[in-house]
Amino acid sequence: MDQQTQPLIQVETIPRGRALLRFVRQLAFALISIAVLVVVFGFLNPRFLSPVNWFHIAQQVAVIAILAIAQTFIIATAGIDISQGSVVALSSMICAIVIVDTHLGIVLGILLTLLLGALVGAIIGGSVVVLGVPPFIATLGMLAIALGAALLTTNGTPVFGLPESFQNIAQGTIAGFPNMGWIAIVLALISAFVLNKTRFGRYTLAIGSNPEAARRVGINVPRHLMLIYILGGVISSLAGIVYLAYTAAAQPTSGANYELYAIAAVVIGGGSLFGGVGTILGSVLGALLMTILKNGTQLAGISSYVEQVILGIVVIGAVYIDNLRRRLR
Amino acid sequence: MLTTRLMLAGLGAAALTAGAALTAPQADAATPSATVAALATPAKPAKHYHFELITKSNASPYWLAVRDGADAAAKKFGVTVNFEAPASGLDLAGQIAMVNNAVTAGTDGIILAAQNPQALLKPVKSALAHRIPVVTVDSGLSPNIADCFLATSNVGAASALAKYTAEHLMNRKGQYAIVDFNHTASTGIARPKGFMLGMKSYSAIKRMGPIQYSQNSVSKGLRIATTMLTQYPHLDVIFGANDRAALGPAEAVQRAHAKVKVVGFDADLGEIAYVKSGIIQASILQSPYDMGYYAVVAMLDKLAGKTLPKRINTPYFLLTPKNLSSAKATAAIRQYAPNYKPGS
Repeated sequence: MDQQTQPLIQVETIPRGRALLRFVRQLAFALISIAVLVVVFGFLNPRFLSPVNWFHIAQQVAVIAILAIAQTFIIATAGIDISQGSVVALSSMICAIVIVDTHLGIVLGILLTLLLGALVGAIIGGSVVVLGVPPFIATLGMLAIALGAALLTTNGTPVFGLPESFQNIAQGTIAGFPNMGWIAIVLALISAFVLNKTRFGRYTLAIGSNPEAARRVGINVPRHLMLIYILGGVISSLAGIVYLAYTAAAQPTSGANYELYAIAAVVIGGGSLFGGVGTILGSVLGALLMTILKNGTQLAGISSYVEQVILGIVVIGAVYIDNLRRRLR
Repeated sequence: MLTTRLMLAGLGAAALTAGAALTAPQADAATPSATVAALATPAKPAKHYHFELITKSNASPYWLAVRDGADAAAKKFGVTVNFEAPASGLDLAGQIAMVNNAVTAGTDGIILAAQNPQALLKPVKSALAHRIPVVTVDSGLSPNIADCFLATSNVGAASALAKYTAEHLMNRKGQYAIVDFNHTASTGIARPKGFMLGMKSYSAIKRMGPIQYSQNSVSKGLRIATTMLTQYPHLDVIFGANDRAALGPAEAVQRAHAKVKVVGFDADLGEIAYVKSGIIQASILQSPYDMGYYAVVAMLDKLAGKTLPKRINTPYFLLTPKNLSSAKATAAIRQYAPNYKPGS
């Protein structure tokens, strides 16, 4: 391999065994925390371990996991997307309106919604790349725009009456496992492949580590960032569709604060807000950890206030241990 | 006497003769309903029951009052009530998850204030299928599939408030505007509806602009009302559909030194201060504490094999600056703030 022309790829060419070890270490915090929580909650209420509860956990984690996957790509470029919550709201409103009010059908409803996600992503990407607005501000703006647009669609009223077949997208099952869980898993597998095994993924991490170096080796950074935000928008709107199918009601205010959970999931999973680091599996585990915490505290009869405190400690702890690990290396 | 007459405005002659401070309002049309008197006083159950109380959000004074009532009943009858709620009243998926989790946890009964009357149907059906009784409080389901629904008659109370407002605050003419807190909850839908219904009989009274939504945020309500004050210079009354939605406009009126009167729902301590200063001229006080308390009682009745009425109207009280210092007002305010002392 020619080091002169492809110095960035070289980072990835460490021996396979060490790469795996590094991968496991990166996920250690999330994995150990999940294991501890499962043991503790299983002890406090044996029903926590029952299959039906894991079925519910799979349903409850899906939307956050999907959002966390989108967030992983964006954070890997040292960006951030705080508009996800209201993009979920806008997407679910549009999807519901298309399906319920216009009778264009479920498939078209979903496609149009994903297209809307792409448009939202393109607007964010355009603001970042063309206008030079920092991602935090660009998505802060989009947070307001999407929420306002969601409220405008029906002047604030919710939309009901989604057909059963649409609700099955989330509520149905394949092989005894909830469909929304499958959606998250399939998306995670594809995304993990894209982020780790393709040029697109390596460019993403390279831009996050050092945009200047990435530019110098010939990566079209603006174009790549644009694609990342469009991808992020499409995945976020997918989360909106799944959310809609799960709740069976489109509300212009749904999804509020979900972006924060998604960011927390990425951070718990070893992602760095400074970019260049992050794995899809880690982020999904981060989302799973938060969901188990919510579910388990309720089953164990622990106050939901305590749950929020624990969640905060976990987020800070995750970053602290991550820093420690880096220093020790 | 004045107190009694004021609060009974719109309630009808039957209630008038009853003359009680906390009178159950007439039912919403077409729903047969009962009062809390329909519930038996349960004996201490043989088994130690665990109930889940799932409200719309976990930090609003209103829901905490419901929790306090449920806790008091729990203590009295030797049961445990776990309080669960999403951090935000807008996290529908969170609330659905909580009901599902409660079913998994094998709870003995679920007391629920539904964020959305339709979206919670499925999880509640699943609970009922697992033979877990469900009692809804404040915000119910549509259709009402719960074993029992305890709430204020929101349409009735809001329309009584409108009649009082028209007769005593507007002299039967003028302009009003509405700040609602949420357009998806059954309460958020019923109250503006009831208020407009009550105003309908006054042809010289006009509603200005569309209903505005404060999304349960005082600061948003403040902003909306501030705009209203400029937009409609001849506005007489702003109706805020809950505590948060009344506080924002009250704050706006105070800051602008406007002549507009605010009428609303509920009584957190902030609202009581505004009633004292006369900016809030009337407020419907519900019985959140009783809702929580009697929800537990209803649950125990159900588990003891009794048949529950599908709908129980909990009492409300019309608080005004004039009756604020009455004993009845104190009792009504204590539904929200158990330690409230008049003059404090």
